Amino acid sequence: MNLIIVLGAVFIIGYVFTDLLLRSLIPRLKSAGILGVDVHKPNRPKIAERGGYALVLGIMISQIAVSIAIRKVHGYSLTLLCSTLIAAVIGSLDDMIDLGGKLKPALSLLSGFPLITSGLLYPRPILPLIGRARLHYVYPIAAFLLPGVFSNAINMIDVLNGMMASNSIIILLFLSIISIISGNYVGIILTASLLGPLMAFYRYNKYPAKVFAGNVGSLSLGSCLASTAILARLEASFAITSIPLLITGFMIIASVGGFKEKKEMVLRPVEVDGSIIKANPDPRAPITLVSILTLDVGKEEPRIVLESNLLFIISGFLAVITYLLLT
Amino acid sequence: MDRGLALSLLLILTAWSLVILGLYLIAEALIPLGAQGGLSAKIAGILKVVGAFILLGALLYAWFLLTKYLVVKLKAKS
Repeated sequence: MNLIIVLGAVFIIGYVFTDLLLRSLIPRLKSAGILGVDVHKPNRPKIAERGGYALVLGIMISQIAVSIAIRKVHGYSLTLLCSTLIAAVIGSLDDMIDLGGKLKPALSLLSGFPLITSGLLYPRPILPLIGRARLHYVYPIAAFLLPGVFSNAINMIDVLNGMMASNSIIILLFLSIISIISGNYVGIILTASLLGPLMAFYRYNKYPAKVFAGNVGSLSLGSCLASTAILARLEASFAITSIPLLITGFMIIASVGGFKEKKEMVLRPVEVDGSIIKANPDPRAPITLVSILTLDVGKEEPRIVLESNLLFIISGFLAVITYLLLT
Repeated sequence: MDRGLALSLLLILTAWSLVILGLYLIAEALIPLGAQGGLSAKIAGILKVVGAFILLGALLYAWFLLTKYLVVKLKAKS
């Protein structure tokens, strides 16, 4: 009962703080000229960019609140916070000076350092069909790489209004469900504490967006999600719930032949006609989740985001099924 | 349901199988590496791990090629 009250309070603190920050940040970003063009709208409006700062600060406040309220997990929440902040610094640098398609993924790997130096890693994850595996050699390497890999994967799905935030909320909800089913105390606390800031950010980022996350928001969120999965020992469930992310990341890297920034791609994955988005008919165009969803029918932005949500929900159910039947 | 959404669902199901198979292959290959003591057993274990990664890489690449083929075919049809 106490845990529910504490988590409810942390959720409210995270939500209200992020909401208030965004309310004051959006007009300031606009007046400072920090704007991004919403290319998927007919009139191509300019939207406040780098709203991810508010999300990062919201995550920071909720993790500090958790570490004060529940002393047992303060090591976990502070490690999660360090990993998120390192990714935020790299994202912020990329927003300001454009690190390029190769340096950004390389630098974002630094966000894995807090995990391997925290002493909280347990190299015996529970895997489907295997049970508790002994991965003393590989696990620390995987734990180091994962936050960087997922921060770039999240960055790749931050292409439509509300897509990154809503899909991340779905991932966290399913990780919460699996944590509740398995009685994973750390998992319940870490996943629930991130929902408040993320839901507040979604309110301003959903269609039609009032703010974009920027690289600071997407890289830090990706690192935060992956660190949560590792610290809460939800690795396999996270990998399965994030399958649409893995598909997008793998397909983009494989189809463009390496790490490239959006502006470095010669062909765009989709074409925009008014408010309708459709896959680029050129067979050499990069393959992304959005281009697959719009292969034969042009769709409006909210519908594509809704369909991507559906794919994440299906992946979430597959993760629950895998946990219940194969683990 | 349109073909794009249907293909996405198919990709998710195949990727799910690949994730489970990949985790299984790597974990199965790694377990003897930690358990066995002799040098030859260690070398055999390392080769098994390398083999598991190569097999997984080949499966992923085949999955990508199949997806690319289906995407191009569907684009041509529409």
